[in-house]
Amino acid sequence: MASVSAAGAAPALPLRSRLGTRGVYWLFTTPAVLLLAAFYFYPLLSVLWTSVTEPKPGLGNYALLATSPAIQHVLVTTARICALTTAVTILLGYAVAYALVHLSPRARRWMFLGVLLPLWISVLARAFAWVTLLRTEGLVNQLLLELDLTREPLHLMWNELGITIGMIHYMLPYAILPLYANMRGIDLRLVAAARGLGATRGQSFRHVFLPLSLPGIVGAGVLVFIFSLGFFVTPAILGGNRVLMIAQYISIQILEVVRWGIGAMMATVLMAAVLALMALLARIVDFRRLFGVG
Amino acid sequence: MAELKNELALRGLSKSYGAARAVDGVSLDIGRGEFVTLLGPSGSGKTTLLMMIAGFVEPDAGEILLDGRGITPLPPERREFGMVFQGYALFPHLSVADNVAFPLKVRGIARAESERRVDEAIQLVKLGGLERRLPRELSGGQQQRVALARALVFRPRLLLLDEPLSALDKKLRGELQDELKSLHRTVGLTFIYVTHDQEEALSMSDRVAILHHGKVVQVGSPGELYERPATRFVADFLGRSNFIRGRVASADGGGFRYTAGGLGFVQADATAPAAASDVLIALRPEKIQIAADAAPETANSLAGRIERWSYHGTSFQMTVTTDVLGPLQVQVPAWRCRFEPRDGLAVRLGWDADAAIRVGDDEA
Repeated sequence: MASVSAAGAAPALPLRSRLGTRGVYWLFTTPAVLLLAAFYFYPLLSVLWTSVTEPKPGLGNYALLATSPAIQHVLVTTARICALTTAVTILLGYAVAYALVHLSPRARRWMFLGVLLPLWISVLARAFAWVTLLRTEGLVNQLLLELDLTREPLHLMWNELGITIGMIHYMLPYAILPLYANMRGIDLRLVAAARGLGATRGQSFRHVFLPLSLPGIVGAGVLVFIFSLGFFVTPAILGGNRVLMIAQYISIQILEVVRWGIGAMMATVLMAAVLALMALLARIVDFRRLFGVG
Repeated sequence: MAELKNELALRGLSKSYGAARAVDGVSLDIGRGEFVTLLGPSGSGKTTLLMMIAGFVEPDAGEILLDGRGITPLPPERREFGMVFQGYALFPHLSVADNVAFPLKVRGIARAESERRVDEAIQLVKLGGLERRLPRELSGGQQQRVALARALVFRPRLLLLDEPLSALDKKLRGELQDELKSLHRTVGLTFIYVTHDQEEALSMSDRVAILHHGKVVQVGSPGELYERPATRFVADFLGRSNFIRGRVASADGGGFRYTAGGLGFVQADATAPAAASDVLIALRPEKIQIAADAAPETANSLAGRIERWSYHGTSFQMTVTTDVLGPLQVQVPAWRCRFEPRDGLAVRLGWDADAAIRVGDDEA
């Protein structure tokens, strides 16, 4: 057999030897790179371009950051909602992650299902679910009225409270997973050791577990804050157009009042904030450890 | 001496995990200032027993008394025992000084006093100059010293050590054994030490408790345990041993005669067994005399042939096959071996009546 094929015509060189091993891998990524360039980087650059050219060339749009009370109000509101969301999400997520690392593997599997399940439900569906719960005649208010805990229905939505509740719910898995990944890396024998050295349960937690989980808290915190900044659907539905966050403001500028320059400027500001926070995060924690890779 | 007795008393401690009895009715008295080692193979229950003493594991039955007071229900932080954990369990986010200061900090001891005592403890374990380092910047031996300083700084009532040297290489382990022993003398504290390394146990301890299947098999000084093992397990676990199964032929006050493989032997024994009972004799390889020409002048002797041998610098190890007792391990100091060992060489083996010892057969 060997002599037959050797006597035959030389076979076409395989792709690999013409491109080299590396070349083949580059080839694999080419479609993704082209896609990103065409539908991601080009639009991003044109947004940046629009922000300094519409309605007239210059930094006029950016000057509005300092002069327009409406824009400042949107920025402050966004920052406030995101900060509150982050704080509460981390607090609740920390408790869940702490329970996760201490539970039996069996109970842990069920809890993980509970944590991950909401991730597969559309953000829209979840926002509307909160509407049925929180609106004036909603389940929560009905319950409170039945139990005589309140006389008037509470205003639980179409305000910052409603937005924050919806966002916390959406963000919880994004806090729990990195917190859990970090806590998994903490040697629980250290906590036992602390008690063996005379620390109470509380002291062991405060002086040993909490400091060791700090990278997880910071990482999850920045992550949740970044995600929160760009929220659109939840604030739009639960805020009922009474509270404007930055993403919704951009959408209004572009789709309704058609001031492309201001919309693009705000989008650029949002992206800059996200990039700055990502850079900060990268300095504090190892990304790969945060997401449990390697 | 009376007041030194029974600082820590374990009374009938038991602990089961499911069907497995990790610790099974252990009673042990540990005197003040003693260096006591809990020795056993892995799974013998030694670590579980230590964790009960420390308060991390709640016994199913039995109690722990400290100076006569029951401490069984106390949580670990209320027992005031220092502990060196396996793998040290140093706090990775704290410097050496802060690690050592930890027990003082949680006790709310004032800063000036704390600094003084931390300094003292760090000097005690010879770590001066490394106070600001983090644990991961230290060698294994240095980490071990930090763990010691941290366990001693709050002047505990006793010190528990869980295989503290197992992570270190052999040479360093030897050095630290010496240091631990001299530290024990310096601080005068009761040390309860857990290890599976019999050499470590023999060289460091005042007394050794040997654990097997959750039970204390024998307690005694290292010399007692080595020279007079109570059971086959102890004789085999501490050092090496040949075992001879025989039947008592006759007995008198000083010992007995027994037959094994059709040949008669004599054995010294203060408490002679009943005639015609089965006995198990443990015979250490280094207590057998060996000669190539004339038979050794010993009470027992038999002929054999060298099957394998190896040279270890200080000694020869040989496996001698005998018709009567099968293969026997023999160890001869190299400088006293009068012949050149070689495979197949016919030799005579001999041992005195008090060279071997009758042991209980716990592995039948």
